[in-house]
Amino acid sequence: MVATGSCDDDVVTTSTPSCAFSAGPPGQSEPSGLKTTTWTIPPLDPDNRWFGGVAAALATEVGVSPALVRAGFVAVGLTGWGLLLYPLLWLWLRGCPTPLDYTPTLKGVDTNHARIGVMAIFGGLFVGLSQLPGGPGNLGLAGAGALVMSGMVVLWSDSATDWQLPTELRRFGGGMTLIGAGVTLAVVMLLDGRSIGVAFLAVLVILTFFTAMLGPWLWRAGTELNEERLRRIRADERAAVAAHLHDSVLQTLTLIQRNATDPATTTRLARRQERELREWLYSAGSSSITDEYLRGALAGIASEIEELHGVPIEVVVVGDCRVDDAGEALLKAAREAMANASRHSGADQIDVFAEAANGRLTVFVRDQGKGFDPEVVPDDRRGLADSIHGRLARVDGTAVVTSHLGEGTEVELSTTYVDPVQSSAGAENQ
Amino acid sequence: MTRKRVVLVDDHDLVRSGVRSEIGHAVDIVGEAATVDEAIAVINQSEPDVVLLDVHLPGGNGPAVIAGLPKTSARFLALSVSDSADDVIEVIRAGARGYVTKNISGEDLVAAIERVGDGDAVFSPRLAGFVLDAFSIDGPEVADPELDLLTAREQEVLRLLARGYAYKEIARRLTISIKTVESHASAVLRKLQLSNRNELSHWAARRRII
Repeated sequence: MVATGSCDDDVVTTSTPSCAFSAGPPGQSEPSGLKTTTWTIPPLDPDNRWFGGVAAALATEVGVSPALVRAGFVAVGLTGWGLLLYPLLWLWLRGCPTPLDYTPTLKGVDTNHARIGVMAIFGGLFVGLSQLPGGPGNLGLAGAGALVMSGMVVLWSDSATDWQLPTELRRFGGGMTLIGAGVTLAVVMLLDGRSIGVAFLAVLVILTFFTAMLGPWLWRAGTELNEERLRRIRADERAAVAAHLHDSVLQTLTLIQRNATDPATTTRLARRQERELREWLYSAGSSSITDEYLRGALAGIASEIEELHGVPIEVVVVGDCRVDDAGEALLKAAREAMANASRHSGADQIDVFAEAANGRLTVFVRDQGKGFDPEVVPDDRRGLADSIHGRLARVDGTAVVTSHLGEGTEVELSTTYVDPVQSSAGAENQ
Repeated sequence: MTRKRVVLVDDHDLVRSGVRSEIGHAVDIVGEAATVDEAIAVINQSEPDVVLLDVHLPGGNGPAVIAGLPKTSARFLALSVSDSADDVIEVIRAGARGYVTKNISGEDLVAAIERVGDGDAVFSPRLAGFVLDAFSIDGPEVADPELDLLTAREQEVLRLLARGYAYKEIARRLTISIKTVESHASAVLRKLQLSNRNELSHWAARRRII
């Protein structure tokens, strides 16, 4: 990040760590006209400071003499509060880049907010504790609070951004030291001849510290773990895909190369592989692609007939249902119809359309081949009569064969079904 | 009939050269592209009648090309090997006027290009099946409002398309004119594009089980 711009209220760009508290979403640039909704903090002025430059900065912003602000700090400090207030303000203002010397220690409004929130909570706790018996203005406790807060800020700063281990260790060490010193001081002060209740409170405060302190670390560790797990899942998935492609596609390609001079075999191999790959690609994770259901069963039959006769069969299915006895009879008839079309029609493709809707299962097998006159089918061709009409008649279904010489044939098979595949996501469990 | 000016968009050289050799005699191929950005540039520059659009492309998919050309007068015909209903329905919803599979014959492809170029819709049996499914015709959901979106006649036309009938055959079978069949097909596409995402998301959930 480049240190361009400043924390002045006229230019706050996205490339500058924004110290503006604005009504808009964080990170967005604020036009200068929005001064009413934007609270900008002046930079600490290293050239004009006594201690941290907080008073000078505030004075510049408010437009009064720095001496007046310093006097105010001293006055508040006499009550013990100023000792908390000053480092608090300093830590906050430190996030703002100065025009001269800017190090991007704290990035972004969100980190700022988190930091201030944490400081406010612990500031309040310590101010509260300092009001316990022992009296207001308990400087020891206030000092402990300031130490712990500084440690917290060091630990929390930049925790939302990318991090490197050495920097992080330094930060962790520094923060821990500060917190440890502060907590020790607080415990010593509180346990100095006081009751169990106060000791308990002290323990509570310490536990809270450590939770807050470890929070960002645990969170980050969790995220890393998650990412690692995702990476592993992806790798596993890739391995499974590779294995599948090797067993299927690569094998088939080898076979095709060996049979390059035999177009019929090559076509059949390619077609079978295509079908397999499609099924694998587009029905992954689906349990309804089995012979128990219309879709799976019909696809299986079509593939089998196609392999047997070498005529491509295009299957389109709308809806789905469990194949019961009637459905099975219908599918056997459909199989026969497909085989007939492949053997006799001379068509170069067969269209199969199946629809399961409103309790009715209908399958159309259509070719655009040479057709025939149903009246003159010789008796020794039993296919139509037995395999198709007979099968459907036995399950109260219907079979209609429409054919015209020269225009192809269509077989319409229909029966009822009982058990639909629920047309909702809930059926995924079936 | 004037020859259609066509742009081929597909990321596989082999597919493009295959398609070129199959249809080059009947249409003018005025540009080719392999990525979404290339496609948008080429189509803007050559202003073709028809774009043959692969559903899967690097840098976004087919729908991204259509979305990137809101003002073009070119019409899109999706050409895909995909069997995924989501892919196909997405590209149609984005504005493609039809969908054919890559194993279509050269002759049929030319006919489809001409039909799309003239502003009509092109349905393969598979697309008709997807659309029927999309408009939910299964039993338990008869009350579904999207069912009303397709008229009985439109469903009839779609079923015949799914059975492998050509427009001409459908016209004869239903004793209506080919123009009427075409206008039913176009109406179905329009309804698919207009039906809202909620309706289709429930459809998408169903597709996953299939």
